[in-house]
Amino acid sequence: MSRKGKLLLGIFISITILSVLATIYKGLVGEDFLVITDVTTE
Amino acid sequence: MSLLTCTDATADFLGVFTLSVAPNLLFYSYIPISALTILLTSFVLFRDRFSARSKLLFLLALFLATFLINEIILWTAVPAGLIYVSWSLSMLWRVGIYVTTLALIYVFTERHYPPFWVALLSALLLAPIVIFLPTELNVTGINISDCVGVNGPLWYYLYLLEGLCVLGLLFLSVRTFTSYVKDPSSDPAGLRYLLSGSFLLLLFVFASELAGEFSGIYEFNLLGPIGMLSFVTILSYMIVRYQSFNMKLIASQALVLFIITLNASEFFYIVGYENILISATTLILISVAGFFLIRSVKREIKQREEIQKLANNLTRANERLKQLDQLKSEFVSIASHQLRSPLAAVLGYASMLKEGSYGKLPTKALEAAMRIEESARLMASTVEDYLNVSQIEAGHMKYIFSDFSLREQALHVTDDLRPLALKQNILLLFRTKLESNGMIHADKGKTEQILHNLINNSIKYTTQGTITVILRDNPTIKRLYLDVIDTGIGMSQETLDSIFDKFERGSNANSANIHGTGLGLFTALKLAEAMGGTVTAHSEGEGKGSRFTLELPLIS
Repeated sequence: MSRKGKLLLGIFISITILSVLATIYKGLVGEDFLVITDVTTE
Repeated sequence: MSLLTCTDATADFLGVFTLSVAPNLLFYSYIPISALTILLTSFVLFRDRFSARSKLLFLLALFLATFLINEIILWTAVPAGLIYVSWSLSMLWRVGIYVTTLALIYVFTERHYPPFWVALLSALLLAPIVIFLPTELNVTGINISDCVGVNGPLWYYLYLLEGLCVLGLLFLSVRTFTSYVKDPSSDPAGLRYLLSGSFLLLLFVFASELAGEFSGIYEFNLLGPIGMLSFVTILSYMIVRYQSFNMKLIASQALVLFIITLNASEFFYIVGYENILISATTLILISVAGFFLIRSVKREIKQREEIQKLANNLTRANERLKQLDQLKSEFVSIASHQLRSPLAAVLGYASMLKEGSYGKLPTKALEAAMRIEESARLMASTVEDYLNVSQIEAGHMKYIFSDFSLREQALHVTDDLRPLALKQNILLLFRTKLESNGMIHADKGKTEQILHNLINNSIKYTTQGTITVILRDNPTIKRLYLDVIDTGIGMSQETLDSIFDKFERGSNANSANIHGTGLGLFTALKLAEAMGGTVTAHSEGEGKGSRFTLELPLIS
């Protein structure tokens, strides 16, 4: 793999990790998501 | 952690999971598949020395296992927060599976990583998924009444990407097939089958997911991973295919592990001491049987490897023997050539001495000159035999084909050899039973040599009686036959079986003091075969005479 390719992969993996961490924080710590109680949402 | 929990379930496992609502197939398919894919691909990773394709295969297995564990969490988790995280992340694992599969197939077909522009384009296409992962575009919210996430618009983009990956795989398959049709040698490893299989399996996974998504019956999704397992197994097999027999061992270990995990999965949902006892006993029995199975496979592999090693040694020895045989033929050819010229001189001078070209010789000297000529002639004939054999074996024998009558030629050779037969008090007769004109298309000189060898052979091995040469034909099947029938010493079945082999002589040849190299019949057979015919031998037994038949194609 070329150096450019490795750099791109590194940036992509970093963003992905940040995004996953943000999702975990939002769901498990911040509880910042919409809770629906309606059965017929879909 | 959120205290908000789904209202349709109560946590009965580790305080956050419920095992009662999940379908049994979940434990039966997802747990063993995760374990198996990781096991298989780890083996391949070490076996294939961390090559690009084995790294990608391992990454694919990681995505698949993570996705499956995520699915188990989704099916069994009770807290809404945990469901939100799992539901949000499932998009990442799914896209990871598709993209890695495509990259893997690309590396398989092209044998290198995709170019930078393809990687950049892929990164740009994947960017929205990664960036919007924690937003409402991904999961709008969680419906706690039935523990299901509400998908945002990003999911339609995910389906689009998955569809593009399936199309990309279709493109690679079509390209491989097209190049195979143009040049069948371009795909010796049967990659086209792998590609078409991969495409169908991925399509199956894609279809099962879409079916689950749009029908709301999420049991459909359980079928997809089974297809993925087959795909990973095929790829693993392809990678290690030519490397070792150990794949068989890994396969048996994987099978045993699969059955044990399958059995162990029952403990997640079975109730009652009786059932637990039955399952535990089965598990122990399977484990013991699996142990013996693996041990026997190991033993078999060891034996096969040893046989393979022996076979390789044998092949090498065989090749060496062939080389030596070739060298021997070349040596005989050169030596025979070198012997020919001095022999011709010996023969010539002996003949001249005998005929009185250097004055009249005393009787004793004349006798000596005659013996020199006779011995030199015998030696010349032997040298000629060796030369013929070496030329036949080296494939250097040249044939000049023409149309001629075998009847005339056979008659000519018989007349030539009659004095020799008469010298041994043998009657040499010639008969024809021809329905056609007896014309053949062959090399005249070589045919004469065959006739000479066959008749001369009969004279050598006949001490008294007659030798009858019969020329007959069968115009219906266009074959011409020349039989040389003698009342000589005959042959046993054992001698008949090897009479046409090189240096092979009748078992009683030495005791009867018959001179010969054992190459005459071998040469006759090889020459006849080269002209589209054959030579066969027949004898009722020792002391009962022999019949040699030359068969050649008859021209109309």
